[in-house]
Amino acid sequence: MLRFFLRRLGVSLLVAVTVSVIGFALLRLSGDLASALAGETATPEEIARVAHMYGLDRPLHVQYFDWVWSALHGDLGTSLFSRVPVLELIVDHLGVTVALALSALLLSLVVAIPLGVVAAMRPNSWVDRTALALAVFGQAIPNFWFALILIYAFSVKLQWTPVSGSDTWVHFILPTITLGLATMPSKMRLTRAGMIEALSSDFVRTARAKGLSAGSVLFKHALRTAILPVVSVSAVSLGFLLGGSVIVESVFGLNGIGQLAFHSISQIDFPVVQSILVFLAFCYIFLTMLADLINARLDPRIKL
Amino acid sequence: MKGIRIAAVLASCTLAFGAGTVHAQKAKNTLRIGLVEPISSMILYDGPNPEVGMFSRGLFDPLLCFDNRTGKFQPNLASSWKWLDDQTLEMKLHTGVKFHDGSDFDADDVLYTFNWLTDPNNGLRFAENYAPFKRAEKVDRYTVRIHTNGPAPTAMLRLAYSSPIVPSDVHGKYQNKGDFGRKTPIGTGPYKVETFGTDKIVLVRNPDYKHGTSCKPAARIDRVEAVAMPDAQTQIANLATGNVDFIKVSDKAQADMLAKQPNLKLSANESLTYQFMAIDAANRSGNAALSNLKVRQAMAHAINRTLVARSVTPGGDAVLAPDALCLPIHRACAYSTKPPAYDPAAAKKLLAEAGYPNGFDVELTATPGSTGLAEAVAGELRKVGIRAKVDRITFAGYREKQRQGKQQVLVSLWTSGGLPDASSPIQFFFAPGQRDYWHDKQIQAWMREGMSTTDEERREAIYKQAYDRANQQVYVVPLATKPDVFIHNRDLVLDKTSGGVYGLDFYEVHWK
Repeated sequence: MLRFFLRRLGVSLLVAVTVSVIGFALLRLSGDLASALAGETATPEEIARVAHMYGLDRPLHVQYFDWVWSALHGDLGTSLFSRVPVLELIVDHLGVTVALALSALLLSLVVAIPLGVVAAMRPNSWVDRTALALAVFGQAIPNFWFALILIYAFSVKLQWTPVSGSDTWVHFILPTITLGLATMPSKMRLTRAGMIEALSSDFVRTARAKGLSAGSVLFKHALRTAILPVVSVSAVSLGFLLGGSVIVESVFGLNGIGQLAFHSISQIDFPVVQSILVFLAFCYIFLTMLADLINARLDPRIKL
Repeated sequence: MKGIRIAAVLASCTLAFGAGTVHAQKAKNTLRIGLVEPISSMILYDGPNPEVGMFSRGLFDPLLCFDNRTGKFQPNLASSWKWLDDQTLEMKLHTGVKFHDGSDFDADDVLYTFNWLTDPNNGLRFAENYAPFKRAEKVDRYTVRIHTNGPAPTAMLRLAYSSPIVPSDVHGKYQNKGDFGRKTPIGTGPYKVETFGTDKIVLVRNPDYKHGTSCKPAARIDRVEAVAMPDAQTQIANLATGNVDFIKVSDKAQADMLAKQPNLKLSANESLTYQFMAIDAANRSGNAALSNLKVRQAMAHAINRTLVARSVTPGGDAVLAPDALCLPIHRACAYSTKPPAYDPAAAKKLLAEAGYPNGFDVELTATPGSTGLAEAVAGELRKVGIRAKVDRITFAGYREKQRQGKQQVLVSLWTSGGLPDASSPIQFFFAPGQRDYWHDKQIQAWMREGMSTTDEERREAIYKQAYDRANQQVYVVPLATKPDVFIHNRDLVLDKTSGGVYGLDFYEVHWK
């Protein structure tokens, strides 16, 4: 197990370094940052002053290593606009994003697991077809469109929920549904497939032969086995939810990491953008590693 | 189009829903604003974008106020002023003015602010705004002298637009000056901060604001609440449900559709921004056709500027085709010529005379916000045989392309740098550097001459020559003005206000 952990940790670190290099390079290669930052009216001298002020006149590799060194010491730089330390900005905005991601994850699990179980119990029935249709709908529908439809129905027409903002838990209902629907299908399909396999396996047949109740067979035996991949997928999808909420946060006016990233990109606030990029990538890498470790713990074949 | 259709659906659900909420806000004399971007600081020194500028003008006062309705300077924190010579401006300050924390405003605050602004190590991104200023000098508690670096014709505009005064004892305590605007944004303006969070901003009327003039009057609305909602459709939904009282729109289809709603009204306020087509006359990009004057004249003749501009720019009749690169709102703006008028037949004739009877290939670089206009312009050019294609590009990408000399024709917009002065467009387009695709030594000489005198009549005469030459050489075609367009509740009055880059000042907004 330790060897597996160390190997996985090494791969994760390699991915993290790669992501940080790509993220850093993409921003630097997106155009003339100093000119863009200096503004339309800037003279060549002014552009040179801005480039020097932000260290953009140094070789790329020097800028990168300097940034990495500072980041390793807990200094992610300072926003070019608000002049607030980037770490402070991320911490300020993280709460909203984490709350949204966790609630969306919870909702997706609450819907996906029962639906997957019911679909597996009645394969090819109308229940199964409906569940699959819902999964296809969830996977195919664009986030922003679904978000606007929800706003139209529940905020504008029915006036049950606020349109935007993050003042109360009510503000999180529609964004949670929007994000939850997007991540529900994979879990529902996994649950269904796992349950179908489990229900036709020998140990379930044995349990039934022993005279255990249907509920006991279903929940204590079949579901415990079928749900294992869902647990690991949930860890990965939490990473997706943390990083993938940019549009949803923007539509619902939630002031989280996604909106901070969106805002910073539009302002070319590169210290914030590159830090968010790397922060979210690290979250994803960590959660993926966690999922692998859970899988390894639960499925002995992976250790081999 | 998809966004517009969704907006139409949202609006067509009609705004009667929000009527009760709106009446409630009117009764409470509260104004609610949907911001496009979350605001991280309340003072323009930290983020000179239009929304920060609007808050900054509400909370802080500069020494002077420039009223762009009249083109005149009026007192703000200074009660009177006179030029002692062409580099020294003496200003008498209002007495009895208090900062929002109750402390007194006096010359020390002015001195502190200008010493900080002129400090080369202040870390301000737009430090060039303060280049005209050398130092400030205290004469007595309520008299200061501002010394400029040589004759500075734009110094008074910079005082009015870019230099809000901060309390020396509060601002001075911060090691990181960026903390002031987000932790203690204390000014002397018509509003003061009640709440400033990442989710919501609440301002309340400052009852001690007694030094106002018609240029910057006391607030009429008691309470202003602002929440960020970056998505345009979300803003519309909030307007539909009565959660905000006005929104700023930049999409023509949305503006037209929303303006038809019975509860709403469109207000288009004249702005400093205009849209243009800049042509590479110096052949930096390698498209030799563009260095031919007849070709540039043909391109201008090919475009029905008013029609094109009004088809993509919201604001209806308020969208105008300017006759020069400076607008009437710019101080010292003068010209006696116009760009070539719309005449496709003349365009084809000129192209043939220039040796391009079958047209030529050209690439229009379109910056964000101007892509619709660029497509429309390309359509007009194609009608006379010029095979125009549009390159949509990010802002940073555009600056890179500009620097590399690959920009054949640029379709973009220009905010006048937030400075209503004739020097601003001339410097922006024709100053030597990356942006210069004309290399016109004569205009550059006039540009320097215009900045060497504070005599307004002389400046007008100088700029008249420069703007006439720019028209005659068809270097840059001014396509259309770009008013600030707001959709708001009919009970809200959003008349043209004294200025500011956002297009309105909420201390001048009021309920009927």
